[in-house]
This record gives sequence, C-alpha cells and structure tokens, in this order.
Amino acid sequence: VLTDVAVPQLSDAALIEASHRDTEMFGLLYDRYAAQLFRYANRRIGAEHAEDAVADAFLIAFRGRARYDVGRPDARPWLFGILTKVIARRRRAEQARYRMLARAGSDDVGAGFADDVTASVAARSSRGPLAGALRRLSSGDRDVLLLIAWGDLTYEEVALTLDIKIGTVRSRLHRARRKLREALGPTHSADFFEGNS
Amino acid sequence: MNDLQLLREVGASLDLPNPEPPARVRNRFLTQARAGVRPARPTLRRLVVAGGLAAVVTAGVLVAQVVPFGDKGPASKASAAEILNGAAAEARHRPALDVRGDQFIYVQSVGTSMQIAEGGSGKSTSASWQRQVWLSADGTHDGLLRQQGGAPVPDRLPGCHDGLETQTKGDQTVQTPCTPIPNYRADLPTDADAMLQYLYRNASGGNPRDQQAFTTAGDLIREAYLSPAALAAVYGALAKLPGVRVVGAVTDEAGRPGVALARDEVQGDLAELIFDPKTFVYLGERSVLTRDDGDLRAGQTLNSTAVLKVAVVDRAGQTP
Repeated sequence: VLTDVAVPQLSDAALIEASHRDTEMFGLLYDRYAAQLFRYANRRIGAEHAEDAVADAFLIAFRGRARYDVGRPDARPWLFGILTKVIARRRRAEQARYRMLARAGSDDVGAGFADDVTASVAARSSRGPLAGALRRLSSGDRDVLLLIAWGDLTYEEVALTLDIKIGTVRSRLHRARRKLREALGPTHSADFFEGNS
Repeated sequence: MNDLQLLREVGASLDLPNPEPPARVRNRFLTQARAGVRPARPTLRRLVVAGGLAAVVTAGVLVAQVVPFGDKGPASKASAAEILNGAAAEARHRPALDVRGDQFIYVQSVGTSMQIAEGGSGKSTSASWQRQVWLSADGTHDGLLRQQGGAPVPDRLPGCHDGLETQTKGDQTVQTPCTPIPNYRADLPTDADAMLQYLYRNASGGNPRDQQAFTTAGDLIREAYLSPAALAAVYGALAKLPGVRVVGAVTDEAGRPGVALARDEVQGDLAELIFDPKTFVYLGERSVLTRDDGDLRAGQTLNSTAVLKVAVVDRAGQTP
C-alpha cells in the first residue's frame, strides 16, 4: 500500500530488478498481471485449478526472476509463458473442462455460467463443437490459439511467450483455426473467408 | 461471425463474475515467495504444495543408471515386463470391493518434496508430510484431506452436488458450476490391450505418445482404488508399453525396499513407479531429476510418495 503512489510508472523490468532487494515489489507485478492471467487460466482449466496455477506461476516467476531479461520492459509474455507451462501440467483438468463444455452443448446452455445471457446465440450453439475441437488440438496449436483468442496476446507476444518464431505462430494458428472450422461445420466457413482476422 | 470471434465469445462466457483472483492466491504466493518455497512439482493432484524444512533427499546412486531418451534395451524391457506382469497377477488376487457412489476412497500416504531456498543460502530443503485423503467415489460428496507437515492444504475437498461446487472463502460461500469427477470408475477397461488403448486415447500433451501413456497410467493409480481387474489391466498395459525399464533398487518413502520402473521423461525429471521386488505390490512413486536444476543435481529426488493404505469407507474422516 505504501508504494501505491511511487511505483506505477516503473516498468515491469524495473519492478523485477527491484524485487531482488525487496520481495514486495514482486507483489506489485502480481497486481499488474494476476487478473489477466487468472482470467486466462480460468477459461482453460476452471477456477479452482486457475487459483493454484496463478499462484504457482508467480512463484516460479519469482524464483526465476534473476534470469529475466531486463531488456524487455514488458513482462507479460514471460508470465504467460510460465503460466502456459503450469497449465500444461494440469492437462487432465483442461481436458475434463472441454469434455464438460462439449457435453453441455447447445441444449444445456444454462450450465450455470455467469455470462450466458450475454453470449450470442451463435456462440452458445458453437460452444460444444469448439470445446470438442479444443480438446483434440495438439498442445502447441492450442497454446497459440488460446493465447490469441483467450489471452488477447498479439502474434509477437505469443512468439515471445512460447519462444517460437512468428512464422510458427502463424502456421500453428492457421492449423488450429482450420480444425475449429471443421468442427463448426460448413455454416461458419463462409464467414471465415469474409472476416479473416 | 468467424471462428476466432466465436471462440472469444465462448471464452468470455466462461469468465467469473469477479475478474480478480481471490485474495488468498496473492497471500499464498507472497507467503511462499517470502519463505523461499519452491513451487510444487506436478504431483498428487493439485493439492500438494511443498513447504517446511527438512533434510536433503539424495539418490546419487541412480545417476549412472539414467539412460538417454529412447533407449529400450531388450533385457531391461523384459525384466520391467516381468515385474509389471507380477504386479498384475498380484492385483487380480485382491478381493473385489463393491464401491457405492456415496462412499469414499481412503488413501493414507507419506511423502517428501524438494524445494530450493531463495536468498543467500541457496540451500535445497525438503518437506515431508503424512497424509490421509477421503475422495468421494462419485465426486458429488465433500471429501476430506488431513495432512501433517508440508504446506497447509485445504481440509475440505468440495464435491460437485447438483452441478454446483461450494467453496468457503473466509466467511463467504461461493458456488461454482461443475461436473462431478468420480474418484471411482467402474467402467475402466479390464484387459491389458484395451487399457493400453485407453491410456493412449486419454493421454494428451506435448510428450511422445508412449510417455504420455505412462504418465496417464501413473495418474490413474495415484490416490485411487481400482477394481482388481482394472488395476491388473493398468499394469498389464504398462508391461506392453515400449520403453518402460527397470531403474534399479530403491528404498521407498516409507523405508521399504522397492524396485523402480520408469520411462525417460523429456522435461528433465524421471517419473518412477515403485514396486515391492518380491510381492510386486505397488508401493508408490518418485520423481528424480535427470539434469541439474538450480542448486539441485541430476539424480536427486524431487518427490517421493509411499502409499500405506487404500480402502473404501462409508464416511469422510472414517479410518478403516
């Protein structure tokens, strides 16, 4: 609390450097990124696992902070990279989540999800097929797809996050999206060619 | 709407009402960071978080026996298969228990987990625990976890009742939608070939297929009760899995002599399943570093767990 005023203008890299002397500085990095990491993890593995995953990811980051490249002011890709590895250890939870979503399908849109009312009919009816497709993707393709769609990372950030080339990001995304469209069926393919993002 | 937009909407529909993680996540992280705790290795579901101080566990003798990925000499394969087939035969001779959905799988175990201390000392430490867990057979009842040693763990394992999981956060109660995850499954394959296919089918992740199947087999028997036929099928499937080899003689976490089997992992540690060398009863598991990590050396044990008792009981908290 006492650092609220002084610190916000520091870069992530500066916070990480400062955390070598003062652990609490890493708490400020947590405050910057915990919500978006948690949101991402919750989408993939559910709230309970996401809590553990976020705590683990920050602990791993903290332990490895000496290896952080301070030439990168923005720590977001680094943190998402660590979280990605932590989530990979919880693949059973992730698979179970997709199975549940696939089962819930369009008949059972209730399923208790908070924002169901705000999701469009198209999104609700495609949840089942999409979850099935997510479950079947290779982990490398799924990471790229979800970092972009659910983590709101740019291609460049995904490349840094997963330590792969931009070209690899593009080809994995292309492959993953092809499988999504196959799962969604012919109705959606036309839209894709119009609105290729 | 294109596929990516749909996926974004589906993602947003999964968001929780409160975007911030609960305060306990921050507290837990900071407490552990200050205490110099090493993050938990993937082990024992999501519940084990290492903490506390004890002596360093070493297994230097195993270093020489760790062979490169892909090595599968016929001799070691044969003896691993022998042990696994022995374990399968032993499993088949156990009494078959009738497990009702409202019962609990009780597992008593002891374990040790490594941590690396942060800060000046850089010394590795380990935490040991004794643990009793009661897991709801059908996943709809609240389970229980009692653990002495290691970091604090939740004592109540919320079940998924009527599609909702109730968690207590301080004086607040939060309900989350869920699907019950049974801890006892009567529908597992009961012959080795079908089980091997099951392991392949249910294995996912970036590792080679056979490695994933080995990991999945470990997940299946960890803190679990399987019917004699299904348990025998798991061991039988492992006996058929390429690359499983004998690591060597070990002493398990409870001090019992054992023989460790493993497939080489690609991520820098070796997951071993430990069996009694005479009776072939499954004793527990360990994971051993295959390359240096921080101040830990290849060959050191990261996690070690010994199963002491598995039973089916009527109530959470009831000991057999």
